[in-house]
Amino acid sequence: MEAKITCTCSRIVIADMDLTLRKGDTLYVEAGRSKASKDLQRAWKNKAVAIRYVQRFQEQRAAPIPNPSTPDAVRRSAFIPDQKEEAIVDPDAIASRVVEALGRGATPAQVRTEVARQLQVAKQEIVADVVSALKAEIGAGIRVGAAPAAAVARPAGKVVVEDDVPVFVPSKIGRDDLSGDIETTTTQVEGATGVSDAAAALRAARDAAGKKR
Amino acid sequence: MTNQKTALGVGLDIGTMNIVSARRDAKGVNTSRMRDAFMSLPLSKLKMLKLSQTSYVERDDEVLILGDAAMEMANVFGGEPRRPLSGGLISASETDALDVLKLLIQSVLGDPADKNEVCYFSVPAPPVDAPDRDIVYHKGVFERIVEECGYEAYAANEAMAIIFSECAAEGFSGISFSFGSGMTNVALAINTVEALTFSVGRGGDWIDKHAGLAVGSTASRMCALKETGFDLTAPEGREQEALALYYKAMIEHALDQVAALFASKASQFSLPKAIPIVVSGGTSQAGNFLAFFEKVWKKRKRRFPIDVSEIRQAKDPLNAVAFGMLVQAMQEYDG
Repeated sequence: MEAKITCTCSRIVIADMDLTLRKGDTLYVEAGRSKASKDLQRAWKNKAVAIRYVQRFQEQRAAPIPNPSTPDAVRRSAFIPDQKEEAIVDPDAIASRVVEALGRGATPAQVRTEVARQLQVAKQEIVADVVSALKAEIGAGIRVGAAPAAAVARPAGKVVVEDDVPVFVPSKIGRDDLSGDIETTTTQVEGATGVSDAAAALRAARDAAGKKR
Repeated sequence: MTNQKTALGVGLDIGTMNIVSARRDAKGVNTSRMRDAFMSLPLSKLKMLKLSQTSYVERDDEVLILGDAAMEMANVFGGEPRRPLSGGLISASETDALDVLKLLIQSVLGDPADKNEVCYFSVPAPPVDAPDRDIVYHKGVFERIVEECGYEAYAANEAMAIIFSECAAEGFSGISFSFGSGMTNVALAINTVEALTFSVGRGGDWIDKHAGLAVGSTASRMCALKETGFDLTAPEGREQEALALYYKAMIEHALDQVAALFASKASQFSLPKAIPIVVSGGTSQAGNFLAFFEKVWKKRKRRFPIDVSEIRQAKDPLNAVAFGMLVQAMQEYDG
């Protein structure tokens, strides 16, 4: 319930409600507050204001009751990283590393760009780590963002979201009772040096890459 | 079975048009090739096949003719042979073709030289212009077939195989284009590492289809004309001109895709020096293909984001993928 107060005189001050009204001004105040104001009652008695108690709205909806068929969502504790871990991203360390790598000739703009790029990469790695930690915590059902069903590969080759739709491949392909004399075209490439050299070079390259790591 | 360790390991290229295996022997490298095609005829034709000394396989109430013989027989009967693979991939709905594929692969691979001999087989990269076609089923089926033939199966990217067989001098860095029949596979490799691989659904079949539509002819007729080896840089007549046009469109599309995909991933790797482009595959065997490719490339060179040292053709375009697979299979035994 509210009190609709309308000023009927040229100007009046309702001191205990901190109100100043001019002729024709209308305002709604809580019924209890208007009844408690002695200045307002005095003004009403002097016909300086008109007061009408009105109810502008009423809550029709019943109060919600718990539905036993839809249990409340299971509350999970927030993921809190291990407090003992050191800060993963240290912009100052990255900046000093970048300055060292770029050398003295680097301009501040180059340094800024490189630091920003490295921070971006570090941020992506942190997000990926958090996602994998959440997956481990909550289960494999989690999907990240709008990633499609296909696997999303990161530059380093790690898979963030795996394709979880299995593909059916028959356990037995072809029939054993089918056989026949089938002709193929066979050719002989004289000397296997090309292939052997390539294989040796590939082995050497992979060994070198392994040693670097 | 032999215990000669150096001869172990097989490379297998499974393409839409050909299936090729490569393995080492005492004299060098031995390749075995078969057309990836078949034809089924009623049992009543059996006598005719015996008379013509055509090899066949009996299946229930029909006779299967496989490989090159199927192509020849299709010409005799004026039809088209059936192809187990379409657009570079096997279709999950083509269950009838699985029997045939197993027979073809069994014939090309032969028996393993040792128990669970390693076999690297080629799979295309996912197509960028047909995201609904995935390679998971394709890879799974061939893995199983190769295993059922008695081998230990390893799937490897088709275009990367060209890098392994052709780019040893550049430390296995380069861009390879495998212009096949069903699709074109592309790989960018930096020091043996796969930096970018993808495929596009444009290949020899795409050229035949569109050139045929353009001049009111059939795809098979355009394919036959294409295989005569006419000079792409100097086409004569409407049909050759149409073929040259679609060859150009195929090359441009592949180059544009490399540029676009590289630009989107350029921040992830660096190219310290210029790398070669190697073109390979059956579709690259057209007359003067390399000169034609270079001509198309020159128009895109300025906007191409990768520094290219040279453009060359694979030494053996039909077998380059099988050789690359063999190189990888040999890694499992040598050293």
